[in-house]
Amino acid sequence: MESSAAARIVEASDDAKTDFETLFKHHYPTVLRFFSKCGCTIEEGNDLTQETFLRAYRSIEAFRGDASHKTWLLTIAANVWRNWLRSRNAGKRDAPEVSLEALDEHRAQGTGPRDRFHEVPGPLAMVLAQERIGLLHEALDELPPQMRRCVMLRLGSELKYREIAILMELSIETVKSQLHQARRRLRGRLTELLAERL
Amino acid sequence: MNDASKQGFKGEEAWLRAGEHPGADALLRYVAGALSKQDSESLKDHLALCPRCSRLVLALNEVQQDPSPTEGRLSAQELDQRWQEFQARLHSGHEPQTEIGGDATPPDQDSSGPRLPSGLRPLRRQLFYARALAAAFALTAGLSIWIALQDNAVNVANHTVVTLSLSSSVTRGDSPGPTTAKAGESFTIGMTPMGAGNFERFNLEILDRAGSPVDVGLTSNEPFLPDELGMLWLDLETGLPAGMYTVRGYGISGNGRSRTLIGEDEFEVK
Repeated sequence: MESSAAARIVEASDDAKTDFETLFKHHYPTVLRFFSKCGCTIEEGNDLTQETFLRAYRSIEAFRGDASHKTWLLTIAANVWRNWLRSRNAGKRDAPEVSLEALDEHRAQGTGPRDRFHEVPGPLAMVLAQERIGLLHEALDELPPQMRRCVMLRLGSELKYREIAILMELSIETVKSQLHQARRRLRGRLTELLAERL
Repeated sequence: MNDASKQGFKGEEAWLRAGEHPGADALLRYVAGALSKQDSESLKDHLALCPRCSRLVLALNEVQQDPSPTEGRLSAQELDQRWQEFQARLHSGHEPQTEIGGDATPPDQDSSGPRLPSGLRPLRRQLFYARALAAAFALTAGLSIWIALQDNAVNVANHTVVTLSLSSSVTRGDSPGPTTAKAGESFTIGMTPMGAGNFERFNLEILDRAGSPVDVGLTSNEPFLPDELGMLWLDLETGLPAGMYTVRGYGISGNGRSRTLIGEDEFEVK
């Protein structure tokens, strides 16, 4: 059944018809490049690209032709990437356990993983940090939406100006200006907010 | 992203309201400029808070904008090899990781973490808040550093920011940003001193149309250092009279002994 499906004819363009192999070879580099831009290694990218085409092959009947093949494949690829991230993160949670005795030995020798229990902030530090977060949210909320988004993308996601400009549909210079103004406004507002609480 | 026919997308409003991850097809519509203005604004709010979806949009934008890049091009032989691998997978009964995506698949509703066993699902909300708190801590630390790097407080209203370029390789900058300020009102000039990394610091001066220096309270020894965004900023609190002006940037080196003109740019005060 699969071999007959492999030769299944799909619409490739307005007039031309081609088989799945042609579709595969035509779009493979694009899908591979997509995974590379998502931060995958070459090996991971090849594996996920194969996975994408496997899913495309098995769901070819569901392809309605509303979008181009490229858009359809990229939609699948995006879902493959999200699922891969999910399973990878789940894998990290299955990391090998380390006994407390082993941690003590490592600590005595100054080797091994850092003891995270000793990094937990105290109650006062937690209260102060929460208050700072509250003030920060208050100040951020008062920024215009576009300015706030630029700040979040710069500091939260650590994106470059060019990337923020693409995401927010702005020029790079506008992004820089927005960040500059945001910093001035936040500093002024946070100073006021802190003064009010003294 | 172009201004192709804007249209809403059915079935996606739920995530816009609930703050869940948008489906891949919605992200592709955004990249194509095919979302309505309202949906685009909602999506931008989500992107600002979601590094994962941001990464996806950037990757989709990259492959959509540049359809035939030389980067990553494969030879016919390599493609044949990939096709053979694909067929081997197909016939080995390889099962996809999850349900097939694309036209027939609804967008992932929660791709932010693994599926929890049913007994632990009530903990999902607590896990979410724990993550949110961790992210807020990180953001607070980043913002504190960012704000602390600017050492003089300035009371800002809605004043103009003029953005110019100073280039060491091109005498006159290309002024990519707005270059107009309002007469008599405070404004800020932001400049990118491109290719000027070898200087210890910078001097700036403003000239009127006749080429005479304008007194804006700057001294010849006033040091300017690029901020962490890589830009030089000049705050003009008193504003300037209407007219065309030139701003010149000088790189200072040799422990202040040498001054090199690294470029100039023009702006207008109306």
